[in-house]
Amino acid sequence: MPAEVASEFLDPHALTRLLSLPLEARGPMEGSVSGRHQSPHRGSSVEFAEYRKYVPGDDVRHVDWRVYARSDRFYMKEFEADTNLRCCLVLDASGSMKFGGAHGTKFAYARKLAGALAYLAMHQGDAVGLACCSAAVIRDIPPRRNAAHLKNIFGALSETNPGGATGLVAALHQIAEKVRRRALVIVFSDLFADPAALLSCFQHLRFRKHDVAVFHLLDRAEMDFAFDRPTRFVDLEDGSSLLVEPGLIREPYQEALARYLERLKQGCREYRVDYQRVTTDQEPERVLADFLVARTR
Amino acid sequence: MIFLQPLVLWGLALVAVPVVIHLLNRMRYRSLDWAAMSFLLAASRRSRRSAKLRHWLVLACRALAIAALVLAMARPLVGGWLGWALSGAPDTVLLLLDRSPSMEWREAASARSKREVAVARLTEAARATGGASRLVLIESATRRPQEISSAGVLPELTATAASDAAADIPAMLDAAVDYITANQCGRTEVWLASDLQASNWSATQSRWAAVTARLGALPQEVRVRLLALRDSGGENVAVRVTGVRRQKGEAVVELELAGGGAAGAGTRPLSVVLEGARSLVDVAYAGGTVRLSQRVGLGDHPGRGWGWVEVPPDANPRDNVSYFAFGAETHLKSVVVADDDGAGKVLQLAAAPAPAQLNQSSVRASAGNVDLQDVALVIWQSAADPAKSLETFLGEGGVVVRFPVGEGETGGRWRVPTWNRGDGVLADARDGVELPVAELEVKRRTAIEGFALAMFADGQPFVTRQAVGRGMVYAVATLPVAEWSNLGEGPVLVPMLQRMLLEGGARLGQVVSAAVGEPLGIGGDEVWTRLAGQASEAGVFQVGGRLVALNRPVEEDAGERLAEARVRELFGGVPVRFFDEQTAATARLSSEVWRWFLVAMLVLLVTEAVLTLPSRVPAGAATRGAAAEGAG
Repeated sequence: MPAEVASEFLDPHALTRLLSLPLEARGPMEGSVSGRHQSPHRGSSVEFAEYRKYVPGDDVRHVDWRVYARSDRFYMKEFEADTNLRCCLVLDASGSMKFGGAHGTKFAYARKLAGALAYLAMHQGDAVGLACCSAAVIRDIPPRRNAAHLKNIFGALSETNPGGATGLVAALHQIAEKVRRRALVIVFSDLFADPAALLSCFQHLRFRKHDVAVFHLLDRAEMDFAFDRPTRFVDLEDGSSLLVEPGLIREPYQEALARYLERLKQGCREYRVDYQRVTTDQEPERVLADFLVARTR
Repeated sequence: MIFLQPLVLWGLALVAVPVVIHLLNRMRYRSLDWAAMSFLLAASRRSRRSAKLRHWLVLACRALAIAALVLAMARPLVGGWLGWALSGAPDTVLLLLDRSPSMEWREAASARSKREVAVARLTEAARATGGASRLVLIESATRRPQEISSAGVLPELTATAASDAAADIPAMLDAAVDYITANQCGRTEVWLASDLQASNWSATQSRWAAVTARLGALPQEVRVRLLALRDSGGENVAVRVTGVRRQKGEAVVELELAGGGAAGAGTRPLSVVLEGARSLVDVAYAGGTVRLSQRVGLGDHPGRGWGWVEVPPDANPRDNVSYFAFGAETHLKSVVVADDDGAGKVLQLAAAPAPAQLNQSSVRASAGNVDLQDVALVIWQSAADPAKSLETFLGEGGVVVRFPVGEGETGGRWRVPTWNRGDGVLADARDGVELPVAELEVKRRTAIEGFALAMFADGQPFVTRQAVGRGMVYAVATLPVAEWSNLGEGPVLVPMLQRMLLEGGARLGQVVSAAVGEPLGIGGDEVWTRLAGQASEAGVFQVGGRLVALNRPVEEDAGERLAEARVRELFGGVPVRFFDEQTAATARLSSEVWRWFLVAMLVLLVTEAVLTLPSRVPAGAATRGAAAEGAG
């Protein structure tokens, strides 16, 4: 596995440390090969699942002869099947992701998280795909599990530049329809869109049996709004501007932001979406470690 | 509203500073690319009204706080009902205490002098201010403002003790105005304690117009409260030595008894003390003013001497003693410098009417060659200016009398109906006989300057005097020759020149007789040794080689008192009320209200701080907490 390529997005030592933590799916996955994730189908693992009555055509090798000896009836002994994970990384590449301060832009941060997770998933044999979207889906790499595929993903991450309006809602609906098998969909975005529309996307994904995780990326300046001088704020997506006295609108701004964050959080909890709010001044390794550990519980 | 420091009001321009800073800040905006625009727009829409209102309130608070500070520094005064509502005790109380000898008149009932009563009443009134007012004492002897720590110390101060100096009420008020102006006092009251003795109040002088004008021109309204100490009966006789001279081995002490009424008429014991030797004589006193001569034998004592005369204790103990000093036997020499030969002869004869006074002589001299050695009087009738050649002579206490030179004013026959009979060179004789000044007829005269001792009917002065150094310059408006007047006939001229001669002779005898408070021309570094008198200003002193006899001023013996109406008239537009008067609450003085402006400033600053503080939680705390929660 080209760890040196992944180091473009995350510190190699951090990646090594993270390798000890598995990326777990919260539900059964429908993989094409045997893996470390639970499958909705019965398989040949050592994990006992259930007994069922024999029907003609069943493989007689799975008849439990001991039960037949006791009860004079044929019962089939079934085991859990383990399969691999299909992980779809959705990266918001809209103009708003260009915002950032001393810790870098939100897009750069998202790229680090996505690159590291792609590497980790690929390392444990799961299939990884990538979709970058701004006003529309600008890159779409379907999930694959070979090593060369990881290089494609890293290449796409490197080449993508944020810009344009946010088309995340449409992109997520599109992904929900397009990915037919159960998958882990991980979204990296600042989610600056209508919360109701966003939650409807998450609902759609969940309806399609996908496991959804969201990294909600925010900059500390967006949270604190700690400006003291009159400032002309220029929209990164459409170029419109607004001259304001920060001291005058700090309070209502923070109230609006807090309301929005609370609504998103509540909606994600309702639709059982794994919601991670991250500010770009947090250590990416720490954020990923927390995410992975939480998913093993 | 008026201001004690109106120039500070220019500082109101600073009110614009917060507005200018606000505008500059608006102009110095920066541009920033921003992602969370939707929240910004929502916040901007939502906060537009309330935030703008709060913003303008903050700006107004800042501007008004500066305005309040500037107004407080300008020391505003508010009158009317507002001033009454905001005022308490006056900021400053100036206590003007008359402690002249006439204030030592004792009340029969309490045996306390008027001064002691005044001090007690002032102390009581000052205590009523509750220590909120600054108390400043200006007493009549020195007229120097003296700040006192509390009302309680007032009776203990030496500055409120008895004094032999006369009071000059207009001068005291002048000192009070000076103090108010120099210290920019706020609401001020002047409490004046006096016995309304007319001579102390200079009621006939035009100084009152100037004093009341100054009082009225003060930016703050100043009220005068008058504690009038009335005479409360009692018999009092004042004694005063009006002159002492040597005559044939005796000291002739000329004295005056005054002030007593007809009820006190009778024989009175009079003590004459000469260098410690007391002699007691009974004198007949019929009331009013009586002039007496007492002869005291000097034996073979040729030198200087001093002593005092004393009458028994009565209502005012301060005027029962009068001190005197006399010089060694001297030859009184006068010099006549006259351009007019006829006038010169008459003047020379009048200055030394031999052989009646063997120790007098008069010589003629020319203007350019005057020998002033041992000269008591210079009679100057010359066009030459005497000022330069006689400057030293006058500075040492010599006396010069000037007579006119030239043609003079003609065309009339002027009489002299008015002259000072009580004091000066034209005063009545000691037996009460007046000089025949009214019989003078002047055909030619000149205009003269100085303090008038006698005046023509048309108001022009006939005789004037002017103090120069320790000496005195007299001027007479006519010549004692027939072409000018009948002054040369003698009944007025001779006593007048003789008195001038005696006055000048005192210099040669190294004896000074003066009133307390009168300038003596004695250096401040000279040592004063008390020879007679108690611990007061009056007494006999040896200063260097001189004997100095100090007595209470003549005007302190005058019994005339001012009526209340006259007092109010003197103060003109300045509000005056007597201590026992009740006043309406609305007549309160303008109050200084700078403290209220400071309070207003503090309230505005606190309001500004409250408005600028976040109303709920510190900035970012809510979102930070939400972030931590979301991450968890």
